[in-house]
Amino acid sequence: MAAIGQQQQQSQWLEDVAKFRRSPQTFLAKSDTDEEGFVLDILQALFSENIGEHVKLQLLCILQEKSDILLKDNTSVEQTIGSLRNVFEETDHDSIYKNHILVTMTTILIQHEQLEQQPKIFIDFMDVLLNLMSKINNGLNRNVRRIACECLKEIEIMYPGILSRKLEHIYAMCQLENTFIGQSYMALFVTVLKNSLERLIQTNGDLHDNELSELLSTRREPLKPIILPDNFTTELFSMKEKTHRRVSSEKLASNVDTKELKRALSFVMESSSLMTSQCLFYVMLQLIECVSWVDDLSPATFKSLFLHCASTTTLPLFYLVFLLKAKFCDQLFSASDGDFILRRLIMYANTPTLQHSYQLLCYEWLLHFPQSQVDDCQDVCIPSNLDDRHTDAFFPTVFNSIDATLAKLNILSLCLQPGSQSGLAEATLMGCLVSLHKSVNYGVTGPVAVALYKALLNYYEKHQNTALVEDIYKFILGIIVEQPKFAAQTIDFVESVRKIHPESSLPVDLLRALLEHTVSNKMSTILDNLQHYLLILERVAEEKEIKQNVLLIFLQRLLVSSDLNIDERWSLGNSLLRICRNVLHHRDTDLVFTELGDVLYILMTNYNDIDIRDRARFYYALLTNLSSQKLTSILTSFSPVAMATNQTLTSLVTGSANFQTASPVRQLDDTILQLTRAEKKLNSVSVTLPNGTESGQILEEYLKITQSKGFSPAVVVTYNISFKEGSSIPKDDKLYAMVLHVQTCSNYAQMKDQEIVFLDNHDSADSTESCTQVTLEFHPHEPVPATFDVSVLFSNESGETCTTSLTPLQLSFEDLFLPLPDIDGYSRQQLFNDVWNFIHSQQGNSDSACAESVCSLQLSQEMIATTITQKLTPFIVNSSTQDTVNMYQVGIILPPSSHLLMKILPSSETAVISIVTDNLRILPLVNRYLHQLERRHP
Amino acid sequence: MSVRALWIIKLPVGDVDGNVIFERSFPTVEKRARLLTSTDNYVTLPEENQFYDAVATELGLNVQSTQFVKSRDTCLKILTQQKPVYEITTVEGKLWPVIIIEQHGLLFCCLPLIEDGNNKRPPLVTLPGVSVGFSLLLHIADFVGPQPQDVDQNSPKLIKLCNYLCYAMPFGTPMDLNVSTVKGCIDSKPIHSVPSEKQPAWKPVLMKGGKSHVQFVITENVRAVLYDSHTLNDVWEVYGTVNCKAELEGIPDVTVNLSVAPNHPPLDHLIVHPCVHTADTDESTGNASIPGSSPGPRRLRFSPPLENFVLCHYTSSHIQKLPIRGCFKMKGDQKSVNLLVQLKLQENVKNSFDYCELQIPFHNRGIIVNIESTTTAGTVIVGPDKHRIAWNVGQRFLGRSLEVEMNAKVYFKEYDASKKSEFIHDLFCVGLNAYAQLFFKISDYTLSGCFVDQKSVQVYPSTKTKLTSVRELIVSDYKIWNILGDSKMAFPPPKNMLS
Repeated sequence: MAAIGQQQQQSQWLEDVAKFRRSPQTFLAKSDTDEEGFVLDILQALFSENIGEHVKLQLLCILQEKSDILLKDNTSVEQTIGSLRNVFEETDHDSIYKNHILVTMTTILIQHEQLEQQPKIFIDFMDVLLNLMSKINNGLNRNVRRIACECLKEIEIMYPGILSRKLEHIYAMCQLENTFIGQSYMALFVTVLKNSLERLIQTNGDLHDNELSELLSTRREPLKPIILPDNFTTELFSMKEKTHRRVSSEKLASNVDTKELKRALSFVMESSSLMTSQCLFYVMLQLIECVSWVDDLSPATFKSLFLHCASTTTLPLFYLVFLLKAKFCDQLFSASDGDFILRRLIMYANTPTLQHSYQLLCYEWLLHFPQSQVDDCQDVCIPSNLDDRHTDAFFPTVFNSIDATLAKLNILSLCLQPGSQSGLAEATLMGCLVSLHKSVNYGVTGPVAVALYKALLNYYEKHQNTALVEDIYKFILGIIVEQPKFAAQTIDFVESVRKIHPESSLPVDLLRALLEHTVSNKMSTILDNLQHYLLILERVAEEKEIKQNVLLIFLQRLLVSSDLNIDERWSLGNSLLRICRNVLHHRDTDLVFTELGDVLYILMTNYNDIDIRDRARFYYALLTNLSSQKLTSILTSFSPVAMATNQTLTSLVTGSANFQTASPVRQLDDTILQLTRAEKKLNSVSVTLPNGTESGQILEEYLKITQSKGFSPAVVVTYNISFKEGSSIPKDDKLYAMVLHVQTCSNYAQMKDQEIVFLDNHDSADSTESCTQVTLEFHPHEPVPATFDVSVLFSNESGETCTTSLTPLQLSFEDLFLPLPDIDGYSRQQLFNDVWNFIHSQQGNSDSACAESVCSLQLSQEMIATTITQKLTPFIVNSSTQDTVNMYQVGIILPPSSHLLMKILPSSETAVISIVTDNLRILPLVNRYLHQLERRHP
Repeated sequence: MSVRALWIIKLPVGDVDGNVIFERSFPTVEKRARLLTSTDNYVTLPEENQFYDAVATELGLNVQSTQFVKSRDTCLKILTQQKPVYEITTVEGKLWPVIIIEQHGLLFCCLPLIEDGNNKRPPLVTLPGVSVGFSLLLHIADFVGPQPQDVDQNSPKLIKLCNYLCYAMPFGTPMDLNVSTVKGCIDSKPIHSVPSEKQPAWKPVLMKGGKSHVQFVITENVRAVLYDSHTLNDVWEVYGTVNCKAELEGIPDVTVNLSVAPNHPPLDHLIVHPCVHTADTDESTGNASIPGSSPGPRRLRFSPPLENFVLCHYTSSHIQKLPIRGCFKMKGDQKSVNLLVQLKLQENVKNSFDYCELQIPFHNRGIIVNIESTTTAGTVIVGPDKHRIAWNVGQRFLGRSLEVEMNAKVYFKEYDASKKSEFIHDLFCVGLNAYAQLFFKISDYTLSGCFVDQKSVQVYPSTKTKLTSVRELIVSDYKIWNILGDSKMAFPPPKNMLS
């Protein structure tokens, strides 16, 4: 049984982890816990013996990855780190799980900037790590030592230089460590070495000759503890600094002795054969930087590495060759080396046994092949040493995938220059499309066709001013003649060309030719592929430069053709109308008046669908009654932006065509205004009982009124409205006719827009008393805290209407508190007692929302007294002293009609609070609120 | 060279939506991304679902690939496309460079850190993170392997993947991705004695006792497309890998010669495993110009890890003749076709097959209802999907001519294109456009003549070592197009085009 329970517990955790990952907020809301509670649960599970390590590891990963959400303040970080350290110490064997505790702690400490916030915790932890790693050659805890090195490396990366003074220790450990984790010491060593060197270079002032050698050969301080320098500031080990200085151009001063550095370098190079590919790559990245900073160090150090890497299957190592080439270029590589690298790259790209994406990456690198030191590989170009001998490799073969074919065609189009007399380059480039074209010719849609059009666009982009354009033109025309189903893709091609080269004549030429092809085609062919041809005509109709008369005559012919399939008459009619609309919109109607009129007339009289007939009639009316200019503006103004202007269609039709349309509302990107809370008025709740209510019925009447629908007391808050600092509005500007809109959520009643006549940038520059104020009344349907989006609409000095959003307004739970009402002849104390007793009597009922609860706070007597005076004075119904202890009774109404009554009994250490409410849904909120009070007195 | 996050996505199948089944992010790397990237360029990581939606949109996962969808298929994309690197548009902004590779119906994605965050789109060749991220994905894909269709977050393999990653890259910077060594390290038993010499990280577990054994396996592939036409030349490629498993004590060096048999052209360049110290990787013509002599061997010296590994990849591009020549003729209509297939084994090719089978798939036709066939060798059957016939040629090509022939007449049911079937119809293969596919395997033979020269194998420090060497030739793709129909083809590089 126990085993089954354990199993269930584990799978429950795994499920929770998955849910939390999907959306942390939703998970917390649904599982009725908060971040703190969830972290506590996780920590408890880590201590539990019933949960397997694979599950615990998942929990650690959650802590590691989501600590920014889960840990809210330094206290919770401190507590979590403390607990994790206990778990670490209690776990006795050297396992992945145990190691990952260290990783999680490191991550949390870095993530929450504990070096700045709580240096002691951070330094203590580093001492633990140093202590662990210092036990070199211990075969019992290799994996923990490895992870300790990894953690220290990560800390050194995030705080460059923090381990500089331990460099010699780490160097010595590297040399001594013989087990397989030696590479972790090495990686840590080169990280610290690189950062130390960088700091030396950046040090202002002269360096003495032995500065570097001493760093590497003398112990300045013991390995433990970490001692922060006296002048420690957060900037001292900051990463951000580095990127701002252009370190790459700086060099180590020439007087500094580099003997020790050279020795260290050759030690690392000698050890390179012991490392895994990934570690070697990391180490080399650091060393390459170091060598580039020190003139005394020769890049030739890397020559043997280069030969090794240039033949290896491991991608990062092969990539090192490019990195070396980009960094040292002629210093390290001769011209023949350059050729060698290029040959290898082409070979990798053509080796079938390597992964397909690997080959694609090689093609990508080829386009940015590092050529000289100054070159930043930014532009696409083929390497200068790529010549005829290599070109064969870029001809697509039958075995190539679509992506590889495209990549090859791209490079080929850079290798071959059209324009020679023979036209060989053009013929070759177009010929190479055959592998893609074959299927397209048989009407095969999908990736191959997509690739073909991409290749064509790429050709065009590369050779737009050559004879190749003519070939592309014919080629595309050929596709449509054979397979009209590629109309959509052809139009996409036309639009793409237009987008990248608006001046190009290819789109118009192509569309014109497509129109000619369509109108001269046999009607039976057209009807077989009608939707595709109509798509072409629709696009053609947008072109001003193409005469549309032929098109319209063709439409007439089509409409009277008896073979028209009327099964899809509505969609067909729509296609036809879209063409007409485009003609109306983009053409001077005088030129097409008769033809367009005829088409529309046939549609409105003969077409078999009423909707189409109506719209045809509408267009016909527009055509026959309005000038071209007006037509264009009407059809343009169908766009949503223009709809927002107050111009009516009638004014367009009757008014002058020169009428300038009002500009639409301008959306300002930056927030220029802010609302600052001035005060919260404690709105008193008034309840008037009917005349002649007997004293025995007061409670009943009272509840009747407060539970009724019309009863809805408001939470009233006044805000200062002022200009935000640094807003783009000039100092003397005024904003007029402001309308402030508060967007409420479903838990609150909608709010009326607030109107402000004008706002002066002088008076309302800051949030002060002189500011314009707005008073907002919030009416909750349910007493829950909420956030409200606020937007404002106004006219500026130049008459423009602008809109912008403001920082959202927050309404917390305690903002909703209202005092109990005063009722004539019925004191608040009486009301408190009666309601308390009423709730107490009801709370057992299953259908009632009444509930009682008790909460204890870790607050001393004095503290509770100050807290209550500060926070709850308006709601105190009674405070009595009993044996020198003050007891408080607090009565609160939460709009619309929930009661929250509390009796607070302080004692020396804790305060016990009895709570009753007639809305048990608010209990979690109450609980959170009370514990917040506690936290304010740590 | 760190990775900000990685994801595994299950692809949608039919009506079942896909989703993220594994996610891992690295807060310290993320912190670096924030520090090193200018505020305009920094884009926060999306939640799981948002990431899935963004990838689905970019790759058009929810729309059939045969449909044209502008957002996915517009030709403008060619100008920015950098496969396998993608730009993923999320609510927060554009994530780049997201590396995506597909394997076994899963998408493996990761986002490497760009350390020079001021430049919005540096070329991929300047980003160490891309090569690291890519190699990470390959290892993860390898680790996960094929998964059942109902794989989800809590599948055992993905739980194990978490362990693997915690060791391989605790902070998001890979230090050791080799699955075998990671496993070796995790499982390594505590030791009490300190090794006297430095032990490499790629061999955390040393073999103790047991017989020394080194095995080489050459797997050679051939792929070819045969047109049997005057205007179109047949094309073929021969390539292979040499795998090695060395069970040796300590950390010895091994030297081996990779040779080719006499009368064979030399291999092209080699691509070798990182454990190889020295190798004649470049093409050398040796003395191949003298007929009957063999080109010089390729010598490789390496320190083998304990697991099985690919010692090298090779290609052989100068092979003059195909192992089997073929001719395929098919004529007829939608209801029935007449077929003739002739195969001829080249002389000098080993005439002993593990299997040799010719399949003819019939695309865009109804199922096969009847077949009448005669062959000079072997038997013909209809495939279980009833859309192909298979001719089992047998283990040998008989007779002096080394030729076999099949005549057949195949009858089909009427074709209904709207009917769903498991068989994927290639829409190019309509009418008489058709091909036959040949599958064969020959053991202890390579077409390139490549072999491991056992006499050349040396182990240092020398021990008594058992050597085995295996080789085989396998077809990866071998198509013979119907000479009476149209065929897929590529444009051959013109001779001396540029001079």
